[in-house]
Order: sequence, then C-alpha cells, then structure tokens
Amino acid sequence: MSETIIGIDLGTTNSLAALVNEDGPEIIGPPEDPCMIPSLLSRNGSRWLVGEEAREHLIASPANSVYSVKRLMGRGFEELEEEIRELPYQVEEAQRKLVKIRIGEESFTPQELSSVILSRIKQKAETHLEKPFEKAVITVPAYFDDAQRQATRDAGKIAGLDVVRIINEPTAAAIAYGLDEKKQGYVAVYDLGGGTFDISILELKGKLFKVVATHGDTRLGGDDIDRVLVNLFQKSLLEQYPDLDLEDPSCRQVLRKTAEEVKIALSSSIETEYTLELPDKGISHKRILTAEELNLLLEPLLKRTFESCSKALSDAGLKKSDIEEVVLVGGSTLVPAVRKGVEAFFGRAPHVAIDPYKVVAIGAAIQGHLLAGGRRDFLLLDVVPLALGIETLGGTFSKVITANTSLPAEESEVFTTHVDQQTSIEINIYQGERELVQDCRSLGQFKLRGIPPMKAGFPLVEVSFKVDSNGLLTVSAFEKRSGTEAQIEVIPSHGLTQMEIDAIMEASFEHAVDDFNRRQLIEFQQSAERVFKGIELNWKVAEEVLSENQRLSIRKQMDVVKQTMTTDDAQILKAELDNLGDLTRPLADSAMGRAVLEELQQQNP
Amino acid sequence: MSEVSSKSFSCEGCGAKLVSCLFCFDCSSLQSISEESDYFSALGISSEFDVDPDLLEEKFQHIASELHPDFYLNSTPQEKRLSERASTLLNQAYDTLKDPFKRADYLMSLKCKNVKWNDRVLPPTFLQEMFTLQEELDEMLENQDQQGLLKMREVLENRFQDLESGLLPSFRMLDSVEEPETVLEKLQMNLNAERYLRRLLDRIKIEETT
Repeated sequence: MSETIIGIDLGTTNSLAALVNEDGPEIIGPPEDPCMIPSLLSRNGSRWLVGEEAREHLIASPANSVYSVKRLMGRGFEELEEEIRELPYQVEEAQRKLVKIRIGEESFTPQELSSVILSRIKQKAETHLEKPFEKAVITVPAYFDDAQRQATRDAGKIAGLDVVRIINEPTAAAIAYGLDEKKQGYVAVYDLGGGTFDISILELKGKLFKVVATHGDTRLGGDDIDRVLVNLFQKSLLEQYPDLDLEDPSCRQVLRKTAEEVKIALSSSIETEYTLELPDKGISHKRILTAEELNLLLEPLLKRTFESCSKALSDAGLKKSDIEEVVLVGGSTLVPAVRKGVEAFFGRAPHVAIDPYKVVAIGAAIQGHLLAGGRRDFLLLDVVPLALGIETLGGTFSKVITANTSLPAEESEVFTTHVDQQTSIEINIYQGERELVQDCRSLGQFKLRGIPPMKAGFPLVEVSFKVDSNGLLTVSAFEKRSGTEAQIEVIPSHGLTQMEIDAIMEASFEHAVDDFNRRQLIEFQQSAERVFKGIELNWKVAEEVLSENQRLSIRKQMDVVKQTMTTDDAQILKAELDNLGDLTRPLADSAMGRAVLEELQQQNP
Repeated sequence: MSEVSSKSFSCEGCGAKLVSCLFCFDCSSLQSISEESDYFSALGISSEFDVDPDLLEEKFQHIASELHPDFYLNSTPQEKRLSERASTLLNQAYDTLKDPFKRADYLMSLKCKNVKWNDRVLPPTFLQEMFTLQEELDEMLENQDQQGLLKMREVLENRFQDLESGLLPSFRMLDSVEEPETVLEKLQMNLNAERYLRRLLDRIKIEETT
C-alpha cells in the first residue's frame, strides 16, 4: 500500500483511530493499549493532560478541565446559551461571535482544544505504527453543517493532520458493516453514546449513500443510564439509613462507580449482586438487581429515543417496515435492554457483530483505505446536507445549491442591485432549508467591489458556489456587464481565518518546544535529587576512598547543581549534572563504591 | 437553431470510441473536457427527451465510479483537477437529466442555441386560470384555510402532472414536423408555465413549514 490514511472518530466522550492493515480494519494499537482516549482535557501549568490522565484532574480541578468540546465546534455564542449554562467550565464570546473556553489566564477556541485530542491520537498512532503519517478521514454527525465541518477540519490542521475527507458517522457505520454491497434500501443507524443520541435514516442506491433524515437528543446517553441506577441506590440506602448524607463526595463517587459496574455486569447476565461500601460510615449495603428490573427502569429513557426514531421516519416519509437494516453505534447500545428495545421498535434484529464503540472509526478507516488506493470496489457519493445560498432583498434566502446535490458540485445564479449607482454588493452566504436568512446558518460574507455605477437592476451579478469533493465551499462573484470580479475574502462566521489557524499552529509549535524543555527539566531535577541522596548515603565510603580535595570539589559541584535546578534551562542542568558525575567517578570506581556506581549509572545515564 | 444529434467522441489516448466523453473505459483515462461535450455525451446516452430512468442511473454510477476524486488522491495535480471538474459535470448532467422539466429546459437550450425565447410568454388560457388560483390562494393564506390549501396543492400538483405528460409527445412531434418553430414555441410556453406553477406551490410549502 502506498500510503497510510487512518480513520478517526472524534467523539463527544471518546475519540479513537483505526486503520486497514493486512488483517482488515482494526483499531490501531494492541488490545491492551488501543488508540482510544476519553475526549477529556485538563490544563496543568502550560501543558495539557489528555484522556485518562485528565480524568483525575477533572474532579480535582474542574475549572481547568474541559470535556464535550464537540458540542461547541463551529457554533456561535448566542446559539449556545443553554449549552453553556450546563458546562462547568467558562465559555466566553470572542471575535466574530466565536466562542472561547477560558482556563485560568488563557482562552482557547474549540478547534484548538479538539486539536489537542487529535494530536494525542496522532502521537499514539505513530508510536504504534512506528512511522509518521499525516492523512486522516475524520467523522462528524450527519447534522453537522458546513461551519461545524470546517471547524473539525481546522482542528485537524492545527494538529498537523491533512484531513482528506470528512464523512458522516452513520455512513461510516454502514460502511463498516459492508452495507454498501447492498444494492438498495433504507438503513437506520441508532447511535446512543455517552451523552448524546442520534438516529439517522440512510438511503442506499447503488453506490450512493444519502442521509435522508436525522433526529436526536443532545442530552441523552449512557450517563443517563448511570443516573437511573444511582437514583435506585440512593432510594435503597435511604430506606435503611434515613439520615445518610447522599451528597457527600465519597458517597457519590461510590454510587457512580457501582452503577457503572452493575450496568456492565447486567450486559452479560440476568442478575447481579452489588455491595455499596461506605466504610467511613460503617455501611456495607448488599443488594441484588435483575436485568428485568433494569429494563423497567430504562423504559422511559428508551421511549425518548424511539420518539426521535418516529420523528426521523416521518421526516423521511417512511414507515418502520421500510427499514431493511438497523445498525447500532455507541457504547450504550451494549446494554441488552437497549438492543431488545431497538429490535422491538423496528421489528428486526440490529447488526451487532462490530463493537459499537469502534464501528464508526472502522468505517472511517475503510474509507481511508479506499482513498489511499487500497481498494476501489465501492464509492461513497457524498451530498450537500443543507441548501447553500445567499441573502437577497428583504432577508430572504435564495438557494444556489439545493440539499442532497452530489459532490463535487457547482452552481451559479444571477442577481442584481436594488439601488441606483450601487458600486459594491455585499454577499452574505447562508446554509439551511428555511425561507428567511434569520432561520438559516450564516457561513460568511464578502464584498464585490468596483462595479461601475449603473441603474438599479441593470448589473448582472453571477454568484457561483463550488463545493469540492471534500465538501469545501468556495464562493465567487462576477459582474457580467463590466467584467468585475469579486475580491473575495470569505470571513467565516463561526470559523477561523487562515491567519488565525497559522497563529495557533505557530504558538502550539513554540509550546511544544517549551513543553519538551519543561519535561526534561523535571526529569533532570528528579535525577539530581537521586544523585544527591546517593552521595549522602555513601559519604562514609567517600571519606575513606577520596582525598579531601576531591570531596571538596564534589560538595562545590553539588551546590552548583542545586543552583541550576532553580533556573529553567534543562540543558545547563544536564551539563552540571554530568560534571558532578565526573567528580564522583573515582568514588564509584572504588570497590566499596560499586554499589554507588550502580545506583548512579542507573539514575544518571 | 441547430439540429442536435448524438455526438461521437474518441479517446485522446488510444483512439477508441468513447461511451462517455469524460472517460475512456478502454485505456482507463480521464479525457479533457471539450467545448463539444454536453450532459448527454457525459452520461453516454442519446440526446433525446425520452430517457429511461434506470439506464440513466446505471450509466451515472458506472461512470462516477471511474471519475470520482476519491480514486485520484495520489494522482498528479492535473489529474486531480480533471477528476474534480469531470465529476462536477457528471453530477450536473445527472441532476439535470433525471428531472423531466430540467431535462426539457436543457434540451431546448441545446436545440435553440441562437434563439432567445421569451421566458414570460404563457399558454393562452393559463394566465387567466392562474390569476383566479392566485386570488384564491391569497385568500386562503390570509384566512389560514388549511383545508383549502391542501386542496389547492392537489390542484396545482395535477396541473404539474398535465404539463409533464405533455412534454414527451411535444418532443416526439418536434422530430417529425417540417416546421419545428411552432412546436418549440409551445414547449417553451409550457416550461414557463411550469416555473409559474412551481412558484405558487412553493408559497404553499412555505406556509406548511412555518
């Protein structure tokens, strides 16, 4: 194979990477250390803790920790109000209605934060694959609009990735199951993750995958299942210990942990025994829960997902019986009650052969494999998800490219001026399906300048929209009578300009150098401490085998090292440590000092 | 006005006769896009109104799975650009030809390259009929008469059907008459009428979504 193009599922709660190798598509890395991390970040000084290592920090210093960044990607401050209220970290309004997340004295765009997760994924994958790579296919929810897709692409760019394709998560899941081999039909993709629920209806026609309807609940997922169990435990505890403080942090921790364990246990057995251990309160509360009881508890949650399913079906103008395949995505679909519920709702057994945590990343990897030239037996024909157009008189939305147009696409429309002697026209670009721009998503704007003064309605302004096969939109304008072409500067409404991306990349490179120095500094400081300890422990030996002069220079050099430890240059510290090593060599070379030698060699290479 | 006949293209590389003017299936090579190429030759079907939808679909998929940029990611920049352009053209061709009105419009533009048709002239009784319908529609919209709107939608959709079913016979007649101008003029009027109807239907659809 000529090239490595990996597939990345950049999720709200988890992110992971997969690749097609000789054995087929697989999550990168050995099973005990897969390329899969929780989408969590925590700021520690000037460096990031990512994934598992950020989890501890999340509890200890919530103000410095960030999760669910995906919910903020490519969105504006005003449309996120409700979302922001529920997040423990501080979200502020930045230039052009962008949002930024404030951590201490610094603030970051969602793109930057996602790029930190992507960098870690890239790093991990490169370690396992033992080679660097740049190209990746990244998945996004089917309902993501152009701004959200662009934000995802920018996050990739900042992380040093060449995002060769953005594909829809449900489509990736369908590819993972090889549903592209089916000639035609409708596929339902039921995605219940940690904190979000999505249902997508896909239409398969030959090689074309089209998302015909999507619906969802951005506040429904596995966390809610845990909450149902925690509530059950609380009730049960209160029955026996009415005065118990349930809000106690350690108590909450125990309940949450047990909920997780019970959920997993009941995925494979019909009943489980659990014990709520609260040693500081002298409580050991033992109970049994059956799968059937859990099913009853989960019914209201499942009902909400099926309401979404019904809405998606009616949006698509379909009946349940029109759905020929059902695909499960997201860790929460491992719960048997969820599987049974889905089967009952659609009246057919869902596909479960592929781990629902991994299925999206695997589909992305298969698409990456095709793009790398590894196969050409299927083709994903992507479409424009929502109509693209411009604002015309009275705030109406004039569509130039309609929804579901296959990519790559190019369309143009001719517009004119409304005012006599108008020499410039502002072109506002929108995306959506509604008739008024106020109900659509603003994507950006630019000005066509230098039109010769003419009567209103006389200029012929041709506006062309071009969307390439990677979904990148470019808009241009041309006044036909004068031949004036637009000086196009598209300012993304909720995105980053190329200049901003460059600045972030430069800063993160500086940080990387900084981070590296800091890590080294910490390492050398620690090894200096160990060397000091070793010298002190063996000072008696030194008094026997070394001259007074030698001992004096060791003492002097120890002081020098101590001083350089307080500066922040790792390289100087290393040099002084080496000097100390030279001075202590005679001590180490002596028979009695052999133990010291070994210690010093191990600790100060 | 010019006569439209199915054009024939041969491969720039191996000289073989091309199915689609965009790609040579004999030597698997992208073709440069010539002035002569049109939507019919892009899809490799003959330039007539009567198009078999199944054949159109099949041709589209067959050709798309050779042209698509996904298969040219590691190719030269020229090939990449050509694949993007050819795929765009193929998509436009498919979208246009699968819709009977768009297809009719396109065919008219090919047949009457130098003739400027009046895009406002409508069939004789059509305008009278539409004025009445429009007045009714305005009233219904004002009174939020959902029942009436539903019925109106049905009436408009039936008129749509009538117009559509008139297209094929007209195009057939075009090929058999000595003086095609009158047929062409009638066709153009029907296409104008279609646009008019679509605007009315859109007004109802907007009402339904808000």
